[in-house]
Order: sequence, then structure tokens, then C-alpha cells
Amino acid sequence: MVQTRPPEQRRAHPRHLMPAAPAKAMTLVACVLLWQLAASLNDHFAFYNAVLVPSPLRIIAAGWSLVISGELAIHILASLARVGAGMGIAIPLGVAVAFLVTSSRRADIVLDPIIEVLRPVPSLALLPIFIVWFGIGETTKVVFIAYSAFFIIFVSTAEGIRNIDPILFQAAGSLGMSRWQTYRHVTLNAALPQIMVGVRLALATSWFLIVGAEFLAANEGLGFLINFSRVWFQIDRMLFAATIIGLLGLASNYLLLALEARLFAWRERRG
Amino acid sequence: MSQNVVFQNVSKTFPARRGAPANTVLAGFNHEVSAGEFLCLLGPSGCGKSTALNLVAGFAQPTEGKVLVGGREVSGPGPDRGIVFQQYALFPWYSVRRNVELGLEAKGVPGAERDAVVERMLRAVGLWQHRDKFPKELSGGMKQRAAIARTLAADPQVILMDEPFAALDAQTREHLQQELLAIWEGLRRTVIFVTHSVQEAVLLADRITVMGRNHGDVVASLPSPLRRPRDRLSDAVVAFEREVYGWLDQAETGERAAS
Repeated sequence: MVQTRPPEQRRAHPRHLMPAAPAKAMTLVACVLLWQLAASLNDHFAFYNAVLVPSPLRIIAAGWSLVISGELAIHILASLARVGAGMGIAIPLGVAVAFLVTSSRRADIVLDPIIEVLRPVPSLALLPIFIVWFGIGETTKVVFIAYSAFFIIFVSTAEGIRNIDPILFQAAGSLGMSRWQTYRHVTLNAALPQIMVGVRLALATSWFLIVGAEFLAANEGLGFLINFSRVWFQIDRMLFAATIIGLLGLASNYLLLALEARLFAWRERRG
Repeated sequence: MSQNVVFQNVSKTFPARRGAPANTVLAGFNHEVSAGEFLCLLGPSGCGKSTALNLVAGFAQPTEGKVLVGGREVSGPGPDRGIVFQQYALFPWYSVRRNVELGLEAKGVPGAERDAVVERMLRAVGLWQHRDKFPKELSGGMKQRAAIARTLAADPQVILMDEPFAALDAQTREHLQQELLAIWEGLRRTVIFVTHSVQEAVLLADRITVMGRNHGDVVASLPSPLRRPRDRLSDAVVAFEREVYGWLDQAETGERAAS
């Protein structure tokens, strides 16, 4: 027998996120404390307009009233549902089209030029057109998110599939795997890390875009909350909503990274 | 059952690409490997021995001629021809056990029988206690054992091996050579084994075919005079090695004369 190398320790979290995280969180806490200190001094010596730049405590108070009234939950859920539905369409579609284009020459010839022409158009430029086509209801926002996320997931997945070592397909063929077995056991597993990268990027972009869409056409949602508060000059609410959007984006990113670390325990660690 | 492999006037030309002219690796290559024979293909790099193996595996099609396995023309990869690569080519996302199981699953072997074959194969290569590990947790030698188990589990008629031990350290290589022989003597399947190493070929082969760099011409086809088991250091083994080295030199110089 050849001696066994001890299995590498599995980490629950990606290495680059963990060690500095507590110290970095302290930086943020310090910033907020300084801001509050400046605001408290400003209460006595008034060196800036406190209505334009509310203090952290006022933002929290405004936020708390939104929590108590249940408004915040409504807005969060509305935005989440749109992003969720859009991603729910974009992920299977992007992955399926990437499989199609990478495995059929004919599909590549038909689909690839269309995708390559549409992809560079910023989807925000198409939002007014989507509103004309689909109205100002939920359909527009879900289609808009699905459309925008699709390209990111498609490109990432197709690249993942194209980078699979051909020797793995040779091995699959020699084991007698059918086309579908090869898709399931080889292509999908090999491309999955790259698919997850696409999902993470698409999710970040979706958060970014849903806010824009809700400025234009919505009656609830975090983007709507910001725009509506602007009309009433409630800057504390606007800042609170912006903070929530940032925190939700951050949380979903960390969640996906943790999921990847768990899903891809088989990966060789480089460097 | 074992099957023979016949190369019938096989040519393989890789088309010209940017910066590289068309390359004819094999031209009018004729050769036969008997059923149950352990054949080693030896030759300078670029002589077409790996190409010949890929044609049997069905990873590439001959430009001219035919490759026949058990009398039937090869048209693509299939489970009747198992292959072991130098780079292992294990599926890194599956455990050792799952890797070995896949060929049986592809064949539609029912669950209970599948489990039994997997256990038998993993015990044969000494990996049963490591069955739940991922490939990344294994050493190179263990990875190659797992790959061999995976190939054999699918019960191929012909086993193709493309420099399978070239990336391993000398000691591990010797262990694996012995283990491979022990398994092969139980199975007696046709083996085509590509190698750079004269010692390896002499130790393993029933017959050694030395290929030249001149479009894969067969410089010599040498039936082994050695009985099994073979002792690496015995006079007979060393004498045969010397003979094979002589032919290999000729393959190299022949190439020089041709170019």
C-alpha cells in the first residue's frame, strides 16, 4: 500500500473571507460611531443641515417605525419576490441554453449571434420598452430581472462547460455513458462551480436593477420606498432603505459562498 | 471474453492548423493484437503510439483504413474498450466508490450486483477502506488504482493503458506494475499498454511492438521469451531489455535518417 496523505482540513467558509472579518466589521462600527458623534455635536453647534444628513440614530428610529408598521416587510418581500422569480426563470434557462449551445453546432449557429448582439445592451435601456410591452405590473419587473440575469448565467455556464477537460468526456464515453448520463455525471458537475459564480454575479446585478425598476414602475418594494420617501423628503427613510438593500445583497452573497464551500468540498485548493 | 484488435492499413492525418502544417502520424499502419494478449507499444515520442491507442478507444477516427475490435469496426468510444489514462481522469466530484460504480450504472447493472462488483474491484486494488474519499484526498498511486478499478468494473474486452504509471514515483510504479499483472492474470483480457519505459514493457508484455517515428512504422514486434512471474534483475530479463533497447535505438536513428 502507498501511504495516505492526511485529508485536508475542510473549512466551513472560504478562507479569504474569514480571518480579517471581525476586524473589518469594527471599521464599519467605528465609522457609524464617528458619524453619530458628529451629529450629536451638530445638535449643539449646527455646522451642517441635519435634515439633509440625518444621524444614524434618526435613521434607525425611522427604520424602526417602518418595521413596527409592517411596511418594511412588505417592501422587502415585494423586492425579494421579484428578484426570486426573475432568478428562478433565468437560472434554468441560462443553464439550459448554455448546454444547448455548447453541445450542438446548429444551436450555436442559431442562438449565439442573437445572444451576442443583445448581451451588450444595458438592460436598463430596455426597461421602458418592457414597461410599454408588459405594463407596469409584476410581469415587467420579473421579465426584466430574468432577462438581465439570463445573460450573466448563460455566459458563465457556457464558459464553465467549454473549460471542462476533454479527457473527462473521453473517460465517460469509455465507461459507456449515454449522452444524458454524461450531462448529468460529468458536464453538470464540472460546470457547477462556474454556474454558481454566474448565479452570484446575476444576483448582485438583480438587486442593483430591481431598485431601478421600482423607481419607475411599482407600488411597493425597496426601490419604491426610496423614491416615495424622496417625494416626502424623508431622507432618513431613504438612507434606511438603501442600507437594507446593501445588507440583503451582502447576506445573499455570503449565503451563496457558504453554500459553494459546502457543495464543492471535492475541489482541489489552489495556492 | 477477450477480443483481438486489428489495425488494417490505418492512416491518421491531423489537418493543418494556424502555424502548424498537416501532420501524418500514422500511414498504412498494420498490426494485430491477439485476444488475451498483453501488448506493449514502445517508441520515441511522437511516433503515433498514443494515436493508435486513441483510434482503438474511438476518441478519433482513422483518416484511412479500419480498426477492428473482435471483428467489428470501431466507430466511437464504448464500454467494450476500457481506458486508463496517465492523468487518471477520475471524476473529482464523486467519491472513489461512486467513480467505480458509474460504468456499472451506465450498463444498467442492478443495485445489489453493482455493490458487489464495486467492493470486489476496490478490494482488488486495496482501496476499499478509502472508498468514501474524494480523488483529491488520494495520492497519485491511489488515484491510479481507483482509475484502474473504475475501468475494470465496467468489464471491458480490451483494456487500453496510455502511459498509466509515467507520473508516479519509481516505488509506487513497481507496486502498481505487480498489482496490474496479478489482476490481469486473473482476467486475461487483451491489453494494449503504451509506455516509454523499456523496463516496464519487458516486465509486463507478452509482446513488445517498437514503433518508429516515420509515420508509425513497426520497427520490430518482439514476442517476450520470458516466463511469468518475472524477476526484474534476472539475467533473462536484462538480456531481453538489452535487445529491446537495441531496437529502440534503431527506431530513433531510423527517424533521424528519414528526416
